[in-house]
Amino acid sequence: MTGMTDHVELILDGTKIAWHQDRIDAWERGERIAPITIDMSLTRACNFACHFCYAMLQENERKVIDKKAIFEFLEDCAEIGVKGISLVSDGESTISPVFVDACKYGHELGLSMAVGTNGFVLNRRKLEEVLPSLTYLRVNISAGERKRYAEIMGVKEHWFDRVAENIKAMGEIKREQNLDVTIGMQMVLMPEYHDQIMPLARLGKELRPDYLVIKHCSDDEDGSLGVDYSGYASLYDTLHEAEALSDDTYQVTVKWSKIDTEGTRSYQRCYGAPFMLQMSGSGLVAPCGMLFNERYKKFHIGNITEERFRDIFYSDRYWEVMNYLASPDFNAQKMCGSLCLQHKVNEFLDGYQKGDFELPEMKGEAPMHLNFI
Amino acid sequence: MIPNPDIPEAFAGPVSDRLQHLVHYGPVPETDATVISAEADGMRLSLVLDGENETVADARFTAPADAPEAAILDLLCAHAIGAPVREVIEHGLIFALQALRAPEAPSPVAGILTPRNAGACFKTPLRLIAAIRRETEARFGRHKDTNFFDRPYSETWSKLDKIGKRDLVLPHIDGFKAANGISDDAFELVEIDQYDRLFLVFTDEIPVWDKPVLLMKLERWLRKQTGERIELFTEVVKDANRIRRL
Repeated sequence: MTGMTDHVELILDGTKIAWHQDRIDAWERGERIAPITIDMSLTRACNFACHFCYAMLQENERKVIDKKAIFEFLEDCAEIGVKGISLVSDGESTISPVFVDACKYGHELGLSMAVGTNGFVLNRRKLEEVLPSLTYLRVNISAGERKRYAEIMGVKEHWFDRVAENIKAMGEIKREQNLDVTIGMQMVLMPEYHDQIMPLARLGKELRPDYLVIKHCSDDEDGSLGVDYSGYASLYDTLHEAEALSDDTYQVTVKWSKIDTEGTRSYQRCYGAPFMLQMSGSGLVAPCGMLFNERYKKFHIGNITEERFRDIFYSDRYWEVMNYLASPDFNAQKMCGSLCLQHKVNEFLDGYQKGDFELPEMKGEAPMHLNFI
Repeated sequence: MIPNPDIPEAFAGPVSDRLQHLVHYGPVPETDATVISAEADGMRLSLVLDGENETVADARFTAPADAPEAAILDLLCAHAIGAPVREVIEHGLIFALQALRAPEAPSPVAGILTPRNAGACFKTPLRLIAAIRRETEARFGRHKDTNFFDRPYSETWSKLDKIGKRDLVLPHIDGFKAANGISDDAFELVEIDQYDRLFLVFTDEIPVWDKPVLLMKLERWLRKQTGERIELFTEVVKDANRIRRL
């Protein structure tokens, strides 16, 4: 299984790892490769209380990422060859005082910057300042109706109106300023939110972001969030109906490749983390968001509030942890939660490593958001 | 001893040890069972399958008895017996690589170590596995389902109750503390849960950033001492965000 989708302009369900063959070759030679993408947050804090939030399981020792720490981090990323940084991970980055500066400075350094947010504090003024620096901005909105939004996202009903207004403003600013940024909406779907699939798809059609993506909900290896993966199959007709609302400038995509797997993994080793690193809003560097909690201390590598990222990256400790994940010491089928961020990258690299396929020759124009694999 | 340029330093000792005690060396005895074999560069690997299914009942190899490849193939055969042939193809060499690696010696590569970059001595074993794969797929077709094979804990371990497991592990933890100059109070085993995960609690004696390194080292130690795939964890920390609820 290559995990590659047909070459479409905007890949929302698949991996772009095969477009980075130079880095795969270096990895195969045993070189220390810089991550292509780093997913991180600027804070562990959040102003929402979403019912599905994986961040509830990711607590670790909190430190504050201040302007100095994030600027040095971004400089180190540019220096070692990181290509894209998505501010998503385990906190609401837009409420950090360094949010706007971090986006702008990363962009100035030549890094592709992206944001995942609940969209609540992003007013028009802030959006006008930050959108020119971003490759994409994606709003997490898991309901299309006020009452259900309040229930699922853990906030007051009228917050729905403000977020919807902000999404509308994002599209308007993009068109007014002729920006390259992609505006997205994301539904994290638990089977019990099924009643909100069509209202949200219709809301998107009205607000006019570039896309709505509907994805599974991840859970930890103990099933702490109680996601019923068998419950997705009964929603397929509704999900197809939502996709049918796509038009020329509004794409509704379901992450079928993950929803279809019912939470299982085809691989045992995790080769994806060196290509796609995750960091906590506490500044913690750990290979993957599922290993942020203090419980997984043995995988913790360093903290950018205490040490330069380039030193962490070049340390033997970083590579000891990455090698552990790639060795028989580790079995992702048993030791990890479900459907992590690196899942599609892992599928691809594991298949390639086992000899299931040769590296495909990538022809034609590269897809959008290439640096977010 | 003159170092063999085909053997990276990290494998030299374990390879040499294994070559003294090869277990699976030799041709396959006469059998009516299905045998999948491959040959490359004058070496041969044979897997004898168990009746109708694809589980390996016996595994043998031939190779020059002093070649480093003999040590690799011997360990590959050891992993193969009792595993589905597919597991041997997908993970056999990774297990052999792991078993041959002296953890204190520098890795042959700076980044991620795999059989493909582990040195010249892995080239022929890789060819043999590729050939075994071709023959297996020709015989049984290509698998479309998922390989979930995983070596379980030993029968001895599984039969123990929590107290028995604790009694088995504690002397090794004490031995680790003694060997590394760590005081008795530095950390404590507080739980072995239903999935056999071991949970430790630290006191302030161990500096924060020494804990991850120590945990990994202790885990390696316990695995070596017990022969079980022990997993170490520290206590879970609950979400500090007061407006969220789980």
